[in-house]
Amino acid sequence: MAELLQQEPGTPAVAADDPHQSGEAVSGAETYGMTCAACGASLRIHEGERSVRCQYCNAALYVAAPAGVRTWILRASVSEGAARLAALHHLAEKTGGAVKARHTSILDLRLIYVPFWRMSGRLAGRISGDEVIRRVVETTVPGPDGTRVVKRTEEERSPFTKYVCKRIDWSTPACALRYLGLQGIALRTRMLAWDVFDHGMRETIHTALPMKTAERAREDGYRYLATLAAPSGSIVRSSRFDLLGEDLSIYYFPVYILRYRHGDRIYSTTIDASDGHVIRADVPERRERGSRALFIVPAVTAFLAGTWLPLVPIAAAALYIYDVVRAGAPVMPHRWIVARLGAWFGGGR
Amino acid sequence: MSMKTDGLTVQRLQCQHCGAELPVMGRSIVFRCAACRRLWAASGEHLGPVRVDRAVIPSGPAPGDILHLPFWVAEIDLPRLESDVSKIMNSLRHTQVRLAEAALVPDDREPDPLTELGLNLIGIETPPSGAQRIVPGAAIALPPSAELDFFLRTIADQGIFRVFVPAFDSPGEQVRLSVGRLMTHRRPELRTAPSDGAGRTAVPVIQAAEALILARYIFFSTFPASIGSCAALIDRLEVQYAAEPLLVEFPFVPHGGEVESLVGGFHIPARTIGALAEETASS
Repeated sequence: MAELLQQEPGTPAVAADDPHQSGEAVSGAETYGMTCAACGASLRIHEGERSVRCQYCNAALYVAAPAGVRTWILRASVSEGAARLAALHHLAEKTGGAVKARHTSILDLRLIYVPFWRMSGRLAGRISGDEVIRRVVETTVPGPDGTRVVKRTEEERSPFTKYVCKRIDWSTPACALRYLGLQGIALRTRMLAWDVFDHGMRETIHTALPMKTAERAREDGYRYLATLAAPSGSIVRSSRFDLLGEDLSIYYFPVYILRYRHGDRIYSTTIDASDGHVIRADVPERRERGSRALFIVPAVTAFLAGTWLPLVPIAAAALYIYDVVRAGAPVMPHRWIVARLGAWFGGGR
Repeated sequence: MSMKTDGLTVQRLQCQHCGAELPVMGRSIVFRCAACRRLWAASGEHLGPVRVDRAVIPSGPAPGDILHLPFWVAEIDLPRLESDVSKIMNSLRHTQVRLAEAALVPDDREPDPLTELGLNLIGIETPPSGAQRIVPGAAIALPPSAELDFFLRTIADQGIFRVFVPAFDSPGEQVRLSVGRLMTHRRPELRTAPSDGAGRTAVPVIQAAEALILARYIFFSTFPASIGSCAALIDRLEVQYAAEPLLVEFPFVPHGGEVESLVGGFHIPARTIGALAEETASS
């Protein structure tokens, strides 16, 4: 099973996996496609295996892992038709059946291989800082009506030093995801079959270009892992980590980007091309005619106008600024007025 | 013959001496040639010769059900350590003095007007003319010199300080630090003989280069708290080793859910030990 995880905004795009700690057999984990040195047959080698026997020619083989960045690719196993169907099912489900295939026109569907930096292996390190313990202390103080209990929070800091050795699996997108609509995506892998990325493939497949350097990815990884290793609520003063075996590689993960038109707007949906699940989707918002809005908006306007007439444009300006900040993009005032009135009194989709 | 694919190499697993095929051992990094009995270890891209020793059981008859667990044994270069610590401490003390000087600023607090009039009724302290005050937070916490000297002298008196790094496969990686620290603390006498690979043996999965990185952290974790918590010292200290690390199999005896080290005299849970050589070879 494969997964691209959509995470909550603000959380780092990271999947820290420990197959050992979660009790899963390592031998049942990912496989890597290679070629037998004796007969040239295709082999699948499990993660962590150092020696294997070719199932075709029975030769004993040794997997050497020299230093350097490796590049892997996961082939798409979901067809375009299946991806389109998954997106439409998801759309119908999210809109309660109100938006179906006949209400939309699909503009395009593209298979894109998204690069991720992935750091996996054993990590050893040391972290030190201050562990902050806060506790509420109740004290009795004299007051005008006798004594009263006053609560105050006391903070106690105690230095800590922790040594860590753990199996890690951390990933971060290597390309700019803003244009793919994949912000906050983390790569989590289970039993995936990776193949060596042949750079000649770029001519036949669409790949997003890696923009982040290996050094930057490594720094990000160590910084995040320091926060993982630190006790909760502590202040980290210094940390140092070493990745044993130094396995930082690029993994190309396949996703379908589907764009469709509904009404006068264009929406996009991202589908995992390894298992067909919808990672994220823009869905037309339900604009319900609010009976409360029908009453509250005129009532508030009348109240503001009755109190002091300039309050009405002031409130409108404040609401406009709020909407623009929330949308994250400038909106022309007349368009905003139409959209706002539509949201309050328009109804339908 | 080898096939090279974007950084990964698949090679024929053959004895580099006699050319015989080596046994497939899964995650193990050490391979023993069945024909010439030579041992080969994976190190990055190539197979290189390796010596595997077996610790001699200290005294008494050897129990029947012995499990051999491989450890890398790294010997700390003590003269170099003392000199490095001394250099770092001197540098830190110098920095501390400079920071303290920089932290001393003229005390320009306004004098209290009541005190000026000789009416300091509530005992307000005002700075005398030309006084200096210390800006807090500008100091580096250093370990007490006497304690550091005592610690260095203690380990130097041993003549040799060895760090033991568990190389066996384990379901949890933290066990490498905890077991390594236990074994290093016990400072067992190292009497060894070449290993014949007989009996139940856990497969080594840690390479020599990786073991040296782990040895650094295990070594630091054995420091007293007052020294080990000094990040300024520990972060600057690069541990040097007196010789190449040795791969040594130590005897353990199962007792219920635990295994007891016959050399170190401590117990560890049996579930912390992963694949054994015969299991890996047969799978």
